[in-house]
Amino acid sequence: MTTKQIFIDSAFRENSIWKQILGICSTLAVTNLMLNSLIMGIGVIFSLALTNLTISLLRNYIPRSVRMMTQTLIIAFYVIIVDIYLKAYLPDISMQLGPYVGLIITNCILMGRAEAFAVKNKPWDSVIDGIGAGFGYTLVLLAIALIREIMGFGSIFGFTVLGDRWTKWSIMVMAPSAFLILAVFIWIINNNFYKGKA
Amino acid sequence: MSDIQTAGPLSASDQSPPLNERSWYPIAFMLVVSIVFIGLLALFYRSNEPRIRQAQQRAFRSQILSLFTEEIGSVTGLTRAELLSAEELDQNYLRFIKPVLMPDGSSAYYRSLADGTLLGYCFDITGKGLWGTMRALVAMKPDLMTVINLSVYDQMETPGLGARITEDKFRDQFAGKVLYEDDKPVSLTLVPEDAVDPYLTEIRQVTGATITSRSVLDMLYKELTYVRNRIRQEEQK
Repeated sequence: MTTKQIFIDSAFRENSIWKQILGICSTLAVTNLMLNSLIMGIGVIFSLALTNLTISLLRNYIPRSVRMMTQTLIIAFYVIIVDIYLKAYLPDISMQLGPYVGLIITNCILMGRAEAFAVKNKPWDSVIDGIGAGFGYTLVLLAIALIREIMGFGSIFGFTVLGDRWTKWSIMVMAPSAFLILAVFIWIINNNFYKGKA
Repeated sequence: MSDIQTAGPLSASDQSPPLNERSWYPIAFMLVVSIVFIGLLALFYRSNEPRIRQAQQRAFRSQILSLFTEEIGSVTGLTRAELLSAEELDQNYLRFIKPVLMPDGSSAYYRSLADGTLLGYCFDITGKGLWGTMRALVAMKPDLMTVINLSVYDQMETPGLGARITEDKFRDQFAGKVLYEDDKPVSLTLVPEDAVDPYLTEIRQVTGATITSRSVLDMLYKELTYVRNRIRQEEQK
């Protein structure tokens, strides 16, 4: 497969959320604001790419019986590196992120891509797969956050767009709305692009 | 003849499984990988620790100073930007904020002074949120009854819900609130976030985070009452 195909596959055809139903917890948790979603997405892209690269480099040495422990260790390593770096060099952004960086460790997508791709593919391909999967995840987060932030706060990225006349939907700020929007989102995508292809 | 012997049956050592199929290999591998990655992490943290501590200290100082911007400005004429500028922050902190140890030595509170005038007190208070401990700085006027401002600077609440207690919209409601009358607590009550013209004793809660909003009020009263009593006791001695 070419680099382009790997990217398109992991970002769209095999999208972690709408096709593999991975990373749902964070999708529900952070999509009430677009900024939160974007930050989470960037963190996941970075961690996924580096985790995939490292696991791919070590793939011929990792024993099967401890492969998941090794993957978790490597994921945690990169996520904590990002956290330390932000605290030391970008403290303002680190303050804004709060617990988001740590949440990346628990994201199933990282383990999923390590297991499904990085353990059996070359380092460069694994990096592209990681970036693709992170990109696809970020797109879905932003799409859901767009609906929730507009309806819940009347704003996009914190900038008011609907004014005072708009009655804010409190439910959109809370997690149940993410369940509903995500379900409708997955249904639309699957109905239009995957119907009959299973 | 010697060639034929070499190509004969494998010796005992040749028949042993490759390194990565031996029973001890997973343990050794995990041990080495853990030592390498955790070691790298420790090195990375140690090399950045002074920067992290410095950034945390500056953030804390900035938080305290930001609570007194109006009070300091009214005495000295300094604007908020001048007071909190990166170059002047440490100097301004040392000039206007004086830490004082609690009588029992357990923790500190802060006094803000400008040109010999006491502008107020600042307390570092702790309480339980929905998911963990939260810490806040609350600035009080010298009468120890009126809030100047409040800032929750450390919390583990749900991002986008409870974590919104750190936003200006929530914290600014506390400015000017009278928490004690005749030395008795005045209870603040929570009202919906979209409540129009709340009373002086009402606080608009964060939608979807009633427990967190309530926790801020509980923390405020519980800790403040304790600190006030200790300071009053100390003053009477």
